Amino acid sequence: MSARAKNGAYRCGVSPTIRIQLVLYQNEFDSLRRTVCAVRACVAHARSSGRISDAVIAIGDCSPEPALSTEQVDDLREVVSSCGATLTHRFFAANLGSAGGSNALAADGQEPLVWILNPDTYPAPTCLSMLLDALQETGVAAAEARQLPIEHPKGYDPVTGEATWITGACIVTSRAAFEAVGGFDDRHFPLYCDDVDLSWRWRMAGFTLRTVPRATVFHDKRPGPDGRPAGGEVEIESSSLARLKLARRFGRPDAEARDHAAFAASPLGALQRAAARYDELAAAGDLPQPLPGAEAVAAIDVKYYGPHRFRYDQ
Amino acid sequence: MKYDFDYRPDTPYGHMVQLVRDHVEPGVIIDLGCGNAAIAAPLRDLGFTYVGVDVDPTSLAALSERGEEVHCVDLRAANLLADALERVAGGRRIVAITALDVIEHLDRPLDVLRAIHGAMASASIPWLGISIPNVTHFDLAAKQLSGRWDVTPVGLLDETHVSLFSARRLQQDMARSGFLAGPVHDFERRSSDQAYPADLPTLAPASMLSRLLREVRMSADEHAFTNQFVRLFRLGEIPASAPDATEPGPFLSVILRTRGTRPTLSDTLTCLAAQTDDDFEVLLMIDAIDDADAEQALQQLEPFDVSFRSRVRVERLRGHDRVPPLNRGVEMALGRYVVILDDDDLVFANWVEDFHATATHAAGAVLRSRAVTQEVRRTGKGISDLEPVSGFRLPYEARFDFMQHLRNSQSPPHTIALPLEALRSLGIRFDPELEVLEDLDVFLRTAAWCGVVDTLAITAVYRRWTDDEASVNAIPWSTWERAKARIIHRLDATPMLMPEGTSSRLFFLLFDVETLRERAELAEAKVEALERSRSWRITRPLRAVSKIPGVRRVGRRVANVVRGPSKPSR
Repeated sequence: MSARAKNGAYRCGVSPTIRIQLVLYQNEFDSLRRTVCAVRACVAHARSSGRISDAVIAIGDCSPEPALSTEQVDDLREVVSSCGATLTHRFFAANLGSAGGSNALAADGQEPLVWILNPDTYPAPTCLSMLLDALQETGVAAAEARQLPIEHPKGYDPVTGEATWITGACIVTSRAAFEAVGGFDDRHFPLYCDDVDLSWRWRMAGFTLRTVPRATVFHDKRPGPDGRPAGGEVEIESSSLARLKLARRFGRPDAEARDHAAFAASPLGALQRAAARYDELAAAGDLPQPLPGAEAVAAIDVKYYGPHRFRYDQ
Repeated sequence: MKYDFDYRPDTPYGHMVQLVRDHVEPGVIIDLGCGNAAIAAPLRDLGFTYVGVDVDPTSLAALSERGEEVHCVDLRAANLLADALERVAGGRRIVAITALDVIEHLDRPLDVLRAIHGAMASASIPWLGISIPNVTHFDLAAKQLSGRWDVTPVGLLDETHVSLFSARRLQQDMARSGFLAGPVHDFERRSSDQAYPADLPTLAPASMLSRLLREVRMSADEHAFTNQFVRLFRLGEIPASAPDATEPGPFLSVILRTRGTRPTLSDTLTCLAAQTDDDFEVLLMIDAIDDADAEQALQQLEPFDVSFRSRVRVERLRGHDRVPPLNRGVEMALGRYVVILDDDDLVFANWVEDFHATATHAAGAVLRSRAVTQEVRRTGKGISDLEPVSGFRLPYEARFDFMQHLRNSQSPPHTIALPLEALRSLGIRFDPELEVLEDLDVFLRTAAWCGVVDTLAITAVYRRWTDDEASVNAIPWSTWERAKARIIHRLDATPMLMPEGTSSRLFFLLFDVETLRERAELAEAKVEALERSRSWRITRPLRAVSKIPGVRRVGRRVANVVRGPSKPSR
């Protein structure tokens, strides 16, 4: 019997196994290897403290051509073998997006715990253990780490860590909670805001979410020339399109109309394209359907989702 | 005789006699390459038995006529030296061997030194006295910069010298030959026999260029004006093999200071572990009073993956001061460059990579990147230790300006990579007298010699604490002012290099000052004229009344009614 297991979301008779998922898209090997080394330390820490028994590191590749050679995969297997973990590798031969790739990797396994981790991250060695501790509490579906060096500004309860949504770069969840809501919606949110959508569906299903500030993960994001966190054209377009879909699904037609009008009138090409693409999807009947009662969990203000502790654009 | 110098106490001969007097037990001294045996008489006066050894029959004959005991031995026949010296000793107890102005005449000095070592070991002779010219004397360096290499019949560049020695080479060769460093009584000459032509700009003491070069040379080591190394060496062991000096170090040494009390150290370590360029080492300087604090720091490091942890060297200090960990870090560093990182700093993934890429085309210069700032506060005992209270700001200039930095630093410590060779060869160290700004002091002193190359990239986050954690909040303003004054005073003490474009910069700065001064004087004159005017004097009682608060409010309302409300300021 695991000394740590109380009455949490992943109760089981022995320390559970965990599936650690990395979805690639043309990532550089050296960078990935660094991430895998960090994961190795996390697994070692969690295993030595009895939080987990075994770990499977599942790598899924959405690149047009395989991002890893056979030798490189073997090298990664060698890396993780020292902490007792195993490593699987799957080339999807299609760009499933991070959401689709995560769903596919989760479907490949049965481990009761799932750690969804961006390949451009470096989790601190105690990160996994701390996130697992947060999952012990009844009703907690998933927990996220605090990001470095650009800390996400969204708010959380300073006493409990409860959050209105959690970012997908580094999430630990139970398979039960993940499957209870059908995982990510990779059809409507293949890349951006898939985490917001999943978070709000979790909350609609009665789960709660946790931010764990002492669990940290380095996420390789960098500021633009003006010193503010920067997003590329694709990120701006995709996240803006996703924003409109979120507003539609989660009962905020006012925000949907307001933002659509603003995007369409914007001088920025990325926003104009997002509005145009939204219109095309609407014409094709390919938008997410509104979820009854969803407005209770949705928090869409003029620019952000949910309360923020500070802002990078001021 | 070519080297027929008289004995005087204030000569290299005198220095050697003083060393022997102070450190060697009475007995027989064999003087190799004795020449005219200048030290024979003073040694005899001190109670020693002098035995001269040389290969020149003329010298030997002259000394023999003077009544000195002399023997003919050829030092170049190294393999025969031990036997020859044993014959010279003739069963007597030898207390020291001296070799004054000898080693530099040998084309394979290591062979001879090792042979001397063998002879000394077999006869249990404890001391070897060496006197040898220093070719790193400032005068020679200054002349070489002017293209001069003046070989002379005697002196620093004696025409018969075939092996040239610096302090470093002497130390290395003696160590390789099995000798341990003993007492030192080097012979100094501010102005050597090479101090000519007198007006050479690199050489003449009054020339600013010479003053600058002297500063550089004196910073490198203590032998800028050593004319002759005069030293005793003890018998030691010949090392099995020379240490491998070719092993390349990493590109960067990160000196990470911590007192062990901040949980943020883990964040800083995570940022380092995540760097895209692994070519760096971390020197974790734990300066904790309490062992429990030191343990806390180690516990933050311990769980990291070996791929990172193996590049971290830990040093435990107990001074609880800002400067000693930095100087110790410089001593320990193996990297080409060093950078300071504190245990609450964050860096982006390209922090090392950016420095490294810039160094490929700016080797030897100080490298400077940029940081954003973020205000943070401690959150107490909740689920977090700290949290940001602002986004990022970019208050620092992209390009380095020396003069601007004299007023206000634009460069947090972790945006500056200093070339280690510059710190070592110029003797630059962090000033323990500075309570704050120790990093700025070293940055500006190094920048003054090496220049600065801006990488222009934003690679770091400088956390500004909004509570007492911040040194700017905890340290009195007077301390900052005192530190700045000390930094400027030190810079003032020497001539200074300035980068290209400085003349224009100074011209326009002075132009601006003059223009502003003229405008200020003009404005003052106008105010003065107004105050002397009749109307100003007549309205004085009204102004006095208008200063009463109630009256002022009414006056403003009346003014608004008469001319309309004033425009809001922009």
